[in-house]
Amino acid sequence: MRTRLEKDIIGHGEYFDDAARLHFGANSISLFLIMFISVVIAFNLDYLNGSYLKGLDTELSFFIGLFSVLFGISFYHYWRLGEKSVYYLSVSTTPYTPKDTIILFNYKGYAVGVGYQANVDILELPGLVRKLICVGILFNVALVTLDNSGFEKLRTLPSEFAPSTSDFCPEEDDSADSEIIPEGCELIIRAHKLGYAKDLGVCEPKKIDPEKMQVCQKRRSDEPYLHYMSRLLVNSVEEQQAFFDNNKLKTIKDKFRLQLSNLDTLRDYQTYAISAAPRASHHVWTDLPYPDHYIIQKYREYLDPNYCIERFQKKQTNTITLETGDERNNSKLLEHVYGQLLFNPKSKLTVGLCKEYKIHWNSEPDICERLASNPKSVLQQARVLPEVERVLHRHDTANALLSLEESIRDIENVNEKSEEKKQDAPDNVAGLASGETNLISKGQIDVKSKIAKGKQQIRKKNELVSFQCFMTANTMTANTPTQKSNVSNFKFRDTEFTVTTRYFPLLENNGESQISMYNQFSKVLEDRFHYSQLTSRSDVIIEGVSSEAADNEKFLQAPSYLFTRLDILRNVDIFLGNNWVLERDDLLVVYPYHVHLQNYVNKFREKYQERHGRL
Amino acid sequence: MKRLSLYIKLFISLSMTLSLVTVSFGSGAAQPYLDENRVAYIETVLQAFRQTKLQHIMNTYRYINAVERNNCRSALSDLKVECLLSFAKKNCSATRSARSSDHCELYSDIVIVNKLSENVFINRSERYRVTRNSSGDVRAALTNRLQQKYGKLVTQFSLTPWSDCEKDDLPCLATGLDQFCLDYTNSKSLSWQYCMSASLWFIGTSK
Repeated sequence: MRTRLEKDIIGHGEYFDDAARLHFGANSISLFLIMFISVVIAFNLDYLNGSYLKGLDTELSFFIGLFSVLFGISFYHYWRLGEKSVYYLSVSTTPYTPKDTIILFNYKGYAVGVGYQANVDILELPGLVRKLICVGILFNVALVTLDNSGFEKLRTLPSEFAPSTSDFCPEEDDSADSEIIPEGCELIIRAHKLGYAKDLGVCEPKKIDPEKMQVCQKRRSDEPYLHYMSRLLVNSVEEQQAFFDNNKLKTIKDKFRLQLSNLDTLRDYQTYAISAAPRASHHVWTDLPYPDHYIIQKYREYLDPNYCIERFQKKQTNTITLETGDERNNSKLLEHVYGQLLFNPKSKLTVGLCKEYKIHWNSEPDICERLASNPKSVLQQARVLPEVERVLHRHDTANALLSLEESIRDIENVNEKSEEKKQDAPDNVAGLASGETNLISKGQIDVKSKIAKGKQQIRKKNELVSFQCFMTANTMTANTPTQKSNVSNFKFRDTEFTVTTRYFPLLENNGESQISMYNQFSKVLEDRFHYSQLTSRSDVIIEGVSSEAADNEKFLQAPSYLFTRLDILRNVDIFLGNNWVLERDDLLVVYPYHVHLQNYVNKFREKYQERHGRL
Repeated sequence: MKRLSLYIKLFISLSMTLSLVTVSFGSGAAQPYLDENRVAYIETVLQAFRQTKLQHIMNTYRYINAVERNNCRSALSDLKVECLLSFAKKNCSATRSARSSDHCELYSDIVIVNKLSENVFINRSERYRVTRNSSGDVRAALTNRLQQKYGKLVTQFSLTPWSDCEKDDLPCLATGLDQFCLDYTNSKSLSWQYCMSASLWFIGTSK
């Protein structure tokens, strides 16, 4: 007995003693493949997801249905997919392959080939199935190409092309003599009208000054297109005529010549802006070792330039936990303090960008002395010479650009004045001219003062570039002075620089060393910074009322109300040298660092930004 | 001779044990904020909240609120703290049993700190906004807002691995809360005791 499928095959193909040949129509195969591909794409893009289909707008669902039925059936008829295929795909045992078939490959005695218009029975999908496949393909296409927002845009497209009311001049009633009533003032105005309020105050309606109103050049609501077009044309011709008659062309020529002569400045300005060149370059040399392994440090330096942003501006903690016996502890502490003082975003003042600052670890103790005597060689050795020179050059460019802007303004003003003279001479309307000249001269003064202000705002070169040394006290040699810091001056690229070397002691106690590091490092960055009771956030000390340190210490030793007692630490500023807190490890863990630290950093930054910053 | 050496050994070992005990207890008393002392204290606070009726806690809360607004109003924070402490102690000493007095002191501590931290959780501009938008009782609106903030803090805690404790494992919860608040105060701008009190209040009063 033969199976149903075998019978079907026999019915459509030819059967010779267990040897079969089957011919599949190209139309059916193509449709099947296209359907398969479209389903795979739609499935992979998650468009056949049940929740997505449920979320489709009802109008869009209707549209997709309509689109797929109409275009699916059109597709079916246009490509004649209902007719018998001209090409076929043949699968047959090797001796029974039709003569016209081009054999593509043989596999285990079966030949697969492509034939054309042979007089053989071709297996095709039923017509209804092919129609349904066409509809299904178009359904997938519509599903992938249209979503709710896309359909909404498509729906509102015609209204976008339609002329809007803003393209027309407003009606006279809307503009003339109208009063703008401020929001929320309706009640007060009504009370004023009824006599309950004498004055409207801030609710006084703002009257529109007719003199300040301009003639509307847009299309009138009842204006024919042709008239509007001719009006635009005439206006354009008049504008062009005025442009060539007046001094405007000369102004443009003069400005262009001036810009051409300053091409280098303009190019440099653009180059700096595009390449995000540094606007400052601040350097600190220290003899402390790298805070991390040398390789990690170098990796960050060359391959992860944004590391400092991540480290100092996003993941900055209030305190740092140091492991005992780690030789890099002081370096880690310095890096932490450096990040807090200059870059911690919790502080309200921003003084610099971390990419423009650099700590040169593992430096020789006499580096600043050598820097003062031979700056170029030291900067070259530290590989920062190009950066420093670029900042200094950028400063020159900024100044040159402001001067150029000033010259351009002068050209415009001179030409405008000569133009006015030309116009005033024949008309001889002195009064009007003087009034306008006054207005223009006022505008010129404004622009000039803006440029002058811009020049003032540009920091000095030695505020954009700075050099400091922060060395351990045990490196003080016989040549170095015995005081805590050493200041020397040097000249580089026509600018006077001051370089400070500060020697700091290494402390063992974790709490004490942190505070000491803040006090020492803030001094090297800005030697005028001084933190005292007056700048502290703690309450003012009132004799007889405020508690003494010994009282506080005793107060915090009591075993009850542990949480409440801690509140007095908000008035104990450890940056002012309350050593009794620093000696108590248990208190340091729960000490509210953020309260005094933020204040300390704010005060430091206020002072620091007076003499340091960026372009 | 043997007996003498035995006595000497016994004496030395006893005296060493005694000195160790003294040192450890002594340091505990002098340094109540050491890790183990902190955790133990947090645990007792949690227990106090569990073993006290919510009505008693709320009565203390209302009492301290009233005291803070009237008797203890001061611009100097130290004075305010001392004043609140003395009133809280007086209030707790009036309770019937020693146990409930101890419990009262523990949750009073939390109430006082929450009172002191109100301005940190709700700053002036937010306070103004809440006051302006509330149609009814302003105090209730502010309390609700505070409760939301405490809830947010506890939610943050519950998302950390430190909160992975059994329901009745108070030492684990106390250690977790302590670690969470230490980490929180180091990375954000909130004092440790404010974080602790807010979390304990929210957990303790969610009965």
